[in-house]
Amino acid sequence: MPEWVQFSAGKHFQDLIAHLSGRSVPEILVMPIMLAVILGFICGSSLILIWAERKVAARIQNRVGPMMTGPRKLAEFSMWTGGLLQTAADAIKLLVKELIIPSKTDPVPFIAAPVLIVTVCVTAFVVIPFGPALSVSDLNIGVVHVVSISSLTVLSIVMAGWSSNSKYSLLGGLRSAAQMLSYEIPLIFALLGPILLAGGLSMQKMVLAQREYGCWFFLPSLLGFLIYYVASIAEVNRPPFDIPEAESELVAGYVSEYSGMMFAMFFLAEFANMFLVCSVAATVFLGGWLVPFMAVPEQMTPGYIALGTLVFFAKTSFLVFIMMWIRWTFPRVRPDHLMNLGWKYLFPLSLLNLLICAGVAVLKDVYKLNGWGVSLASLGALVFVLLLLQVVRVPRPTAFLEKV
Amino acid sequence: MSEAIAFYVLSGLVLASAWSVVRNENLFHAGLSLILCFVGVAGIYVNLDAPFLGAMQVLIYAGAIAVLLLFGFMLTHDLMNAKQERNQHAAGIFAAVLMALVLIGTIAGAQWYGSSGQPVKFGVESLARRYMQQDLVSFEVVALLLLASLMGAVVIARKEEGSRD
Amino acid sequence: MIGLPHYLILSALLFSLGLYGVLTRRNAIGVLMAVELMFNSVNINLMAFSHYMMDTAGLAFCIFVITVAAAEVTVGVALVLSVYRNRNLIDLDQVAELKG
Repeated sequence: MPEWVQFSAGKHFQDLIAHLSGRSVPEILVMPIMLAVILGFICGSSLILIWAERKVAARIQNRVGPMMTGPRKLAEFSMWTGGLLQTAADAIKLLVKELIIPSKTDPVPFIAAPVLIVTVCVTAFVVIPFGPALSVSDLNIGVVHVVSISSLTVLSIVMAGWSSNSKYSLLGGLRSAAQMLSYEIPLIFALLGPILLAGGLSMQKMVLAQREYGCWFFLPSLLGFLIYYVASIAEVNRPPFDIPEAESELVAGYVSEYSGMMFAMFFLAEFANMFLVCSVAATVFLGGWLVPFMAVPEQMTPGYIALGTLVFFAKTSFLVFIMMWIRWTFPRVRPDHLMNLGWKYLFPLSLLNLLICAGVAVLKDVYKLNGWGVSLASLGALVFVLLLLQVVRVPRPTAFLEKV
Repeated sequence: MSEAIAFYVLSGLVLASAWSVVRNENLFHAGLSLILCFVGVAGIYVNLDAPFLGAMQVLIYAGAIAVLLLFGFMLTHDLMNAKQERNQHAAGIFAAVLMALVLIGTIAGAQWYGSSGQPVKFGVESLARRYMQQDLVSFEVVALLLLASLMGAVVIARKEEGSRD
Repeated sequence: MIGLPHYLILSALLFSLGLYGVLTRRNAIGVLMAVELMFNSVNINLMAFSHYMMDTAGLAFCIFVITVAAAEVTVGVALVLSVYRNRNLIDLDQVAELKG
């Protein structure tokens, strides 16, 4: 097993500084610097993602999208190279706007909410392996860290909703709290399958386990991948699950009373969270930085690190693109349908996925199946159970409620 | 050394926010302090070399239980009318101070064994092994308890047929 | 050097604060919050013993306590909501039918 992939980015940074200037960086400074790098990365990637979202929307609706801000020569070339600086201009506009704190708000939670949501996002990115040996800190509890830290996002939304002292904000906050609490459960249960297959919680270990199996975990845990993807769309409040901020009903939900910089922070966190859930999906289900048809070298090579990072971003961008595609394709789900989907379908199916993964892990240990055998067995089990559910008429699990 | 600094900072955070939880006139602010307290306790767990428990604390206490409490608070209060009164003030202070004195006296007076050795770090594996072997029965009982409470909560909180709204 | 007694004293103080909250809060949600403080202090105690006595029992019990706390809060909040909906009360002193 190549041990070098578990080196942290902080160590690289220290080595680099030592190499360039001959001075060592004190240990206590490494983490703040790394967090600052993540913050910068989040801001940069969000700018690109917002531009990409507008371009994808434009393409789907047969428009050209933003074209005017940015190099004119490139804009004449094609629609995909026009308006490159549009989001940068928007961001500058938001930054220089006045911060309005309405007089009837509860000021402390009102100001703390956007700060909290960005902090949570930055902290969650700490364990994401952007490439081999390129996670800021490969904690032992990686996957649980991401899930538990991002569960604090709902708190910020509740704070914003209540402290704004406006009924649109409050309704948005309440809806969002209910939605995120409900969808967290299938999300975590969907992740349990790959955790079981990998036999560990650290993110780099998940990637290495997929190398060991010889197949990416979305095959043995196909159901888990789909559930995770749907639940994470609901978790980041994107359409078709954008009920908390449904424009036509709730103005802008919990961000209604925010302006300028604080609004920009909510917006930033929304796109950064989208990137976060997609990068977790890419790591856990799509092999992370593993390059297809290429062995991981035993020694650290800069070429492989660069290639792996590229592959990781390609996989993540693909998942992000599908989220955008879904956004501009499906209409908004009704709140009761949303709860039904989460509790009556996704949650039981995620338990089924866990069961199948457990069986498959045992098969691998006992019969020494390789990754493809494991995938076939798990897909077979899935098809069998779904057919069985069609044949056997299962009483609805909530039927007892209608009689009480 | 760093463990000591972390301990004192986190204890200060936990106790200050706990004070705010029980004393704050505004119940919404008390709930937010409660979350701060939970996060501080999670830090204490990390300081005790149990990062998994810390993550669970953040996930379940701060991310779910506290939000549920805030949810209950928001559904039972008019917007911005969060001021609370209190009763039994003297009795409360008396009981709490007595409790603290008895506990601290006992802790300070006792002879603690086993605190001199080098503490060990538990992985998730040892916990899992424990749950699947020694504590299997308790594990199943807790699972049953969760199911029962889930169903109980649904039955209690649902609206009666033909009730208002 | 931080040892077992430090953690035990922290937990004792937290428990006392929780007790004070339970006794003086009138609002049902406020009482539930104070009860959560007491749960947390017990957890710190368990985890400190687990750490310094090199036994996973404390860790395992901590997770049990967290689970039971989750169950308790679910039912507690459901009860509060139900009382509030039926009688429009949130003050625990006024919900006193079962008093002898």
